[in-house]
Amino acid sequence: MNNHSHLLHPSHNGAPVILRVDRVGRTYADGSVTALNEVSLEIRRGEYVAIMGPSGSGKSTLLNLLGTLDRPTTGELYFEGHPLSQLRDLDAFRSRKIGFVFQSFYLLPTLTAVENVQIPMFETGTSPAQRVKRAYELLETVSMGHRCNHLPAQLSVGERQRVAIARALANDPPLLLADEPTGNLDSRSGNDVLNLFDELHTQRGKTLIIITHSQEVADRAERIIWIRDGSIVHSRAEALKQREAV
Amino acid sequence: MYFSTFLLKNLFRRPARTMLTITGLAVAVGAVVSLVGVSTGFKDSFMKIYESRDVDLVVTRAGGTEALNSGLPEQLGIPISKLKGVKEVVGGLVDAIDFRDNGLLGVILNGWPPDCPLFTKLTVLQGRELNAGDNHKIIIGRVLAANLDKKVGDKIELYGSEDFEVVGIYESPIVYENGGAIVLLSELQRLNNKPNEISGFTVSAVKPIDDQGLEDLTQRILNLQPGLKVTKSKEFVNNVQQIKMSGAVAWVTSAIALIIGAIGMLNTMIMSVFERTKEIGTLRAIGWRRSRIIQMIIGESLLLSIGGAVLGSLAGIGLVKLLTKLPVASGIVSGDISTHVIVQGFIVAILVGAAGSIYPAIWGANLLPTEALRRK
Repeated sequence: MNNHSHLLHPSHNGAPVILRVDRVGRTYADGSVTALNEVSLEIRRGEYVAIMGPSGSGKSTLLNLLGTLDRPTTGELYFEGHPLSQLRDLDAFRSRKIGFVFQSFYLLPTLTAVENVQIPMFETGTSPAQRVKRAYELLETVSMGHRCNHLPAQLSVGERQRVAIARALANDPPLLLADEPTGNLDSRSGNDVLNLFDELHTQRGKTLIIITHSQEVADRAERIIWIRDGSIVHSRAEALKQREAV
Repeated sequence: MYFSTFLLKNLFRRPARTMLTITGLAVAVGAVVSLVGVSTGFKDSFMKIYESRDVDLVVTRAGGTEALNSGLPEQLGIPISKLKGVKEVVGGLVDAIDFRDNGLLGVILNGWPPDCPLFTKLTVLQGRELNAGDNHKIIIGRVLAANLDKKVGDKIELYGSEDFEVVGIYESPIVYENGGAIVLLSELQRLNNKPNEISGFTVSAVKPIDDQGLEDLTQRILNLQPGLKVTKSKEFVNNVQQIKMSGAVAWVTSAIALIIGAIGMLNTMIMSVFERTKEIGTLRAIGWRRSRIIQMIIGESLLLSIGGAVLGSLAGIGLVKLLTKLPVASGIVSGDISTHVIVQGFIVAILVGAAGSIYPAIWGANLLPTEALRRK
């Protein structure tokens, strides 16, 4: 997985496009601040993509747009070919199609691990018994079966992130979006989480988009998208070439 | 996990605040249950007087602002009793007297004729009933006897001038009467300087009788002489000034308590939502609809309301039971709180809960996930 290019990884040739970003822009403060400028990209089903860039480059804005937490000022996003601007119920879309993993986990402190994992399932009409069963299964998947009834405060940060990943998988979404998922973890826990992402990608066929500052984290991905000043600039490979040319 | 479990866990993460809010609301509900309960009990007790005595109509003077005190000539009872459809007519004079040394105000003193059929409704516990010629004699209710610490043979001073000998202590099925006393009608007329005057007549109709029959009888009584007012017993009770006043005071006092309860609830829910901004942002991000956020916040508030209603109802019932032990209130307060007053307490608690949570719920639901997650 070390072919870092803005181009599609060969293994995904022919895979359907899950997410297409078409000349998307996002401005704030009545148009005076441009966070994202005419960004276009395609992500195919089953791809593992890292988005890198310096602070303020617009990568979080892009992730928010990809996750429908925010709407673009210009352009259009397509999910499996359907324009997201036409979707009336983005909440239902998010609950079924996208799993979020946050840097600070955002587990609910009063709920045990198994209860936290059930939270997204309230929106999909899953019965209480099914919710419990699935939550236990998912915690087993992320190797947290032995900590199901612990509160977040009783878990290590690495364990909390595993529970958060199980929560992201609750409704079996095809796309996982992770915002600095190892940012608050020590290197060993971070490595465990990245191994888990690898498994989800290779064994479960999940499409993964990770925002990171860390080159080590990005190196796990099949493709790195570099973003600077609100625009996709180049891949690291291209950057290296440019540097060599200089 | 059920949604309700989730709501309960949210409430119990701040147990002190949750208990304080429930207590605040319980005070409001307790005020409603006890004050409105006492007021309603007062009215029900009055109503029971008329129902237990099979009274259908009450005849008083028209235009009297004070239903208990407006006077009519005693002789009017004769033509009323002769009207078609009338089974029984009872005239009586009523006054309210104070025993300030004992802290008793507004004790009801009835003046009944010696042959009054109402005497048969009383159970004599000690001594005897009143008979013709029993001047300066009085019979007193069980509660009044206890409050004044009087027994048969003791004297009671009425109107600060005349001593009356207690010849009997009675128990009435109506709590209100147990706190009162009865003298002969002629004695009360003399004491009040109202010779041959009575407060009103109660009329029992020959049964069965329907509404139209009562209307016809009402008209026949009104035709006897001008200046009469004939009221159905239930309407009469509802229009007694003291009863209307006690109801109004109960609701105004309760309303103040409820406003305080609602502000407490609003404060709690606003704090709770502000503290959980990031959590709400997370829930929205992972796909919770706005409506579910609203359900969550209003649901938590309603659980607090139910807690407050249960605690408040128990406190209200306890308070009323306690009041029946106090001399000043025992003669007029019935220890029973009717179910519909408790239902009213629950309804107002739920309305207070809803009122206190609507704004926080809308605020929370309208949080943008990106904005909420960015907040410190």
